[in-house]
Amino acid sequence: MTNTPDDTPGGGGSAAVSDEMLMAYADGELPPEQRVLVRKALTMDPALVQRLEDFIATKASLRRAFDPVLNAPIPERLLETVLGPTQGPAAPRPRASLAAPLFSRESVARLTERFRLPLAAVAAGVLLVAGWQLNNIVRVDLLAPDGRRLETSLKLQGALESTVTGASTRIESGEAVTPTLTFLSLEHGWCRQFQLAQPRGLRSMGMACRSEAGVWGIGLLTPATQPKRKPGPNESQIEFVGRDDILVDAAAQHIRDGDVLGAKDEALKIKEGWPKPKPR
Amino acid sequence: MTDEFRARMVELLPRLRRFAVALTGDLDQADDLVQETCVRALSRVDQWQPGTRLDSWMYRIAQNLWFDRARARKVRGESVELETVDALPGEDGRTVTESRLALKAVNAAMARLPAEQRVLIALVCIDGLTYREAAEITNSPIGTVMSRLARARRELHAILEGQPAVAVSSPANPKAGTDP
Repeated sequence: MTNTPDDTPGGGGSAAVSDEMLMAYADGELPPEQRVLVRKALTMDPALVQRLEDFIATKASLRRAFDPVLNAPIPERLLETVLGPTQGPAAPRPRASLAAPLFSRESVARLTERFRLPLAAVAAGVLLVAGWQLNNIVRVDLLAPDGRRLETSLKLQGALESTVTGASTRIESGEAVTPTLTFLSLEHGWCRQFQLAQPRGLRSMGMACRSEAGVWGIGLLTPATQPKRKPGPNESQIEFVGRDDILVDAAAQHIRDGDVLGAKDEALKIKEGWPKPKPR
Repeated sequence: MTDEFRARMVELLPRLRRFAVALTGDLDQADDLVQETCVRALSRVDQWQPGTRLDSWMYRIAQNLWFDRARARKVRGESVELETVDALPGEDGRTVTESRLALKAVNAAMARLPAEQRVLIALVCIDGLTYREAAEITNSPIGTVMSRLARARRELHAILEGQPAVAVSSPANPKAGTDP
């Protein structure tokens, strides 16, 4: 940092501008009246300009230096600390060497196209949704291989189109879809999270978004797992709490714009056939 | 505890890790700190008030844990290792090398700052919080935040540029320069 003599006599020049003021000016935190003062002083004192540039440059260097940490994969131990250990003996996490055959090139390509995911990121196990780095929140091992089969199921399309949140619609042999949340993504249109109940008590969590052509594209589908049974306060009540629900929630939060639709609004959208969202 | 709370914690993990690396200067130590922060946050979830910012609350927990550790380390006379910052990924070879060098250099400079200043650098310069938000997290008056931050940035700039830092007095805001 270049030192500036403070003995400039009078005139509201650099002597009146403290380092704190200059820093606040650089950070856009100075009140308007003081901004005027600093701007005026800057026009009269090149050394002051240099000090300002130093503040700006230091902040930029710091951000540049630490930003790679944001993009680094989150270690499993941290996810486990927050979410608990992976559940479900029915769906052991694929080992790296075994993971690839579970996901066809086609399904990865489709997903990549749907949410414009860079293939390199998918390969690295890091998916990007709508330009937001999810940092391993959503990983390749959360994509069930039968997403395409479901997407082409007219019954599933119909269920997502017209089933209100909380209600179940039977789709294929022994499978039932229950929407759990409806929200708007400015990037992807109307989106719904859903639970897919499968035979033998298995369950997947998914998220689908409706294209302008009226097709619900499945963006995320977790592998089928045996949900952990958690008795509620009333024994007859069973709540399912799973790590996959939380991960899908986290992914949804990244693409969501605005509030989750309430029952009344959701019923209206269903009635109106999911009208095109108005740009904000 | 709601699933939404856990989901929001997961969303915060990348920022919390970056904050922790800025404090500890070491990826492994940062992950230990983040883990400890999450454990403490989960055990005290009843103390978090819905409607208030979760990030500020967790940063405060991380900061306090790190202060405790830093004090303990000082007592033991340990120094900070900077080796594991190499473990960070990058886009291409050149970028990786550049970012590792940048991170090492900045970390080395940060290590010379007092703990309070380092926290403020992490909150304002790296995470982009406002002075007021940083003041709330660190439980300090905003004037103290500004004076500490200005001093820290002056110092960092001097170290990175290889010049001695010289403080500029604060005639317009003499109180803000008071740093306990």
